Amino acid sequence: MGKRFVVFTVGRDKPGIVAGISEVLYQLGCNIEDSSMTILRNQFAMILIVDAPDEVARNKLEKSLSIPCERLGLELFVKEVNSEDMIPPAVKTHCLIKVFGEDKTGIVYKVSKYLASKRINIADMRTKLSGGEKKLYVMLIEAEIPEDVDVESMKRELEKIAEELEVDLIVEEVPTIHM
Amino acid sequence: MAVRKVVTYPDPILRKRSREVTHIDEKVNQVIQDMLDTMNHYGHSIGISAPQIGENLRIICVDVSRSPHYKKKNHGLIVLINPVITCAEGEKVVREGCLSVPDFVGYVRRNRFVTVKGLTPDGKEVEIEAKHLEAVALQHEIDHLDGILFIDRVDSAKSLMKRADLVKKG
Repeated sequence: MGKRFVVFTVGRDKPGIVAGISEVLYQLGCNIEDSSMTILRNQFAMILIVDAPDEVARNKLEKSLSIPCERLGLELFVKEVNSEDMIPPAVKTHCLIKVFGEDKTGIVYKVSKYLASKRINIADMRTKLSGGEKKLYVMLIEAEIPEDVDVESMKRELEKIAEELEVDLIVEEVPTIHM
Repeated sequence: MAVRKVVTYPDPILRKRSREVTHIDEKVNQVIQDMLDTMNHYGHSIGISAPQIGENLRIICVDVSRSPHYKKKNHGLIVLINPVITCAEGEKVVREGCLSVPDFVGYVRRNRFVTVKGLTPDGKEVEIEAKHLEAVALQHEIDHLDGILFIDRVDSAKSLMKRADLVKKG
């Protein structure tokens, strides 16, 4: 097994970004293991975990990828990751945390600060701001609940924070059904 | 009594349509026992189908009472031969994982209520009305008999994830 790299690009969305990056990886004999992409207001971001053959060093990978990135107007970041970084933490269950309310600064900070204090990991988060006259702010968080956190008391404490922020907050446990 | 190796995708066994059971004989009883032993071996599993232990026969086992946090009313252990869904209602999105598709979890749309007809291991015809988690488990296992996996039912790229280590070791 070769080395693993995280490859990150961001830039204005256009057709051909995935093709341009994956072409170079294919030519270098790199395997795309995991990938995720997202787009926010025309900014397209892509993160890849790549398994590279031994002869492909970080410099070579970065240099090769910079060719399509320049052509496509993308910022590029390449870093080697070691295998310990890939082991997921032990998680008891997942919760979906939904916050709705009038837009104001501090919603993300206050909720995430509480989650961090309990060592609750944010696995996914999306925030959206409506364009209406009275702007509606929507935040959705998928949180990984560790063994030592009680879901009910987390709910109560988050509700307290929501009250201070004058926003609505819903916490739903989303257990995984194993079959 | 035997814990069998769970067949994992992309093994083609999981894509075949399983055969109806015509006689409940010694072999069928052995398959059922092995399914139960295998399910019990994986403490977090609440259901198993015969193709998952390598037998393309229409047999499923479901037991949602094994789920530690689940307190809703249920039928306990259900073993069904030739199960058929006769009625399905409502909608529910659930996060599923499967012994045959390790490392993945996905959000899947299922019916909230189902009625399932089939035979018990002693050949009696039964009809089971199930809801919530039990209904979901029955649909997941019956899908296996038709070569369908939960990853087939994932409806967006964001709905399929690699699972964090939810199951405690040991």
